[in-house]
Amino acid sequence: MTPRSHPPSAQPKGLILSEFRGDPDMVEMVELFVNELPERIKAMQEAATENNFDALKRHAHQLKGAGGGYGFPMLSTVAGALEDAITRSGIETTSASRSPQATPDEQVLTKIRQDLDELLLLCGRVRAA
Amino acid sequence: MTTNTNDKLPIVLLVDDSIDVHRLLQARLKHEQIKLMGTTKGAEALEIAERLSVGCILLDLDMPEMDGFEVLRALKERAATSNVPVIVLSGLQGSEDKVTAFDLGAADYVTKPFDLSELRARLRASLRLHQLVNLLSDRADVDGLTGLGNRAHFNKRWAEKVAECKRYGHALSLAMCDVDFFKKINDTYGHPAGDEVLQRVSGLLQAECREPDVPCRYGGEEFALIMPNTNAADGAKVAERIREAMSQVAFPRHPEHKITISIGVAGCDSTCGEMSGEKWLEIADQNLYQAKRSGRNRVVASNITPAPVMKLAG
Repeated sequence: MTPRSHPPSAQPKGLILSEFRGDPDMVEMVELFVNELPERIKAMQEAATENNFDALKRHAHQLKGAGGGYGFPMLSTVAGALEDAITRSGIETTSASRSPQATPDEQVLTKIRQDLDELLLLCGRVRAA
Repeated sequence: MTTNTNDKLPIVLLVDDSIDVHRLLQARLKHEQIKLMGTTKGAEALEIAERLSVGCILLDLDMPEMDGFEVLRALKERAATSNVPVIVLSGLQGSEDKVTAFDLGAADYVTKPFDLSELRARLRASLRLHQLVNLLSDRADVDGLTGLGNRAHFNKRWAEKVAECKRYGHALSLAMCDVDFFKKINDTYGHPAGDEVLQRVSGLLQAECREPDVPCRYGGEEFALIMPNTNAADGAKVAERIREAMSQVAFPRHPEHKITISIGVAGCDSTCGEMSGEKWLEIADQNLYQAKRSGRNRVVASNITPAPVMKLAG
């Protein structure tokens, strides 16, 4: 499964700033988070390419936990949606109910890919300030 | 567990597998009067909590390797850490998890993503409570869990009463009480349930004993009741009242499980002669042992001066 890539500069109008951008306690943290985002994006893209849904779900879970804390609640929501999509599909190797499949269901893949694209797009629009 | 003195900041231990949560709380709790420590692993958290005197633990449930519930259970099982308040942090939404957390002994529960002012407020509340309990325990010779006198308190009062008995020739009795199959209760229902049992027993003791009597928590599941101006026969009657009351107690969530206690009583009428307080206690203990051996849920009493042993069946 290959995600489409979105150049970061595609939507300058849609920049998302942290809710905590005025907060002196949080400035450093938010910058750190935003600077690390490209790494997370790359890791998710790799996981998707390899069809490693366990890893993809883990990343989504972490982003869901982190997003709101750094002032990007929409990130938490969208990451959460991706995590749920993967869980509901039963596609992970660690899922107890999974039956060994040679190739995952196409419809399932499409939904996950859509959610992932939405998340990656969102990540691209995030700025510290 | 020693109290932190007023000039040392309480240690708050954050246990969460997410680096982001650690960073966030480091930033957000920067201005609190605490020392924030952190670990991403449950096993390490147990090790730290045993070694250091921790004021409060913030515990994530959803962790790989050892999950939050396992850590919570382990914390409550160990004497060194069982009194440390634990605030559970969780992204899991169901109230089932909340109930489980509280049943396992959590002091509070905060869902993620958490409102940071709420977390701060709950953290402060837990720290405050913990400090008060420690203060009370240290200052008043009071057992933190039951509110009864602790062992140190018992030792003092028992020595006093024995001395009075020798000096003025008053009657005096001592009852040693022990919850039957207590370890099994803890193993089956968990330590918070065991704690609840101990609290019920101490409540009973206080309700059934008389004004001058001194009920104490002597050890883990052992209680001592000093009964001044009471001879062995009367002491046995008080003990029997307590035993009976205990056997009538029903625990709402486990009505099928009856809790019973065994009691050993040793007393004298007016002269205890050369008997020492320690030997006296030993006799009461031996009677308790007899009660256990002969079937539990009963009282065994004797005069410390030579006289026939009285046994009251339960």
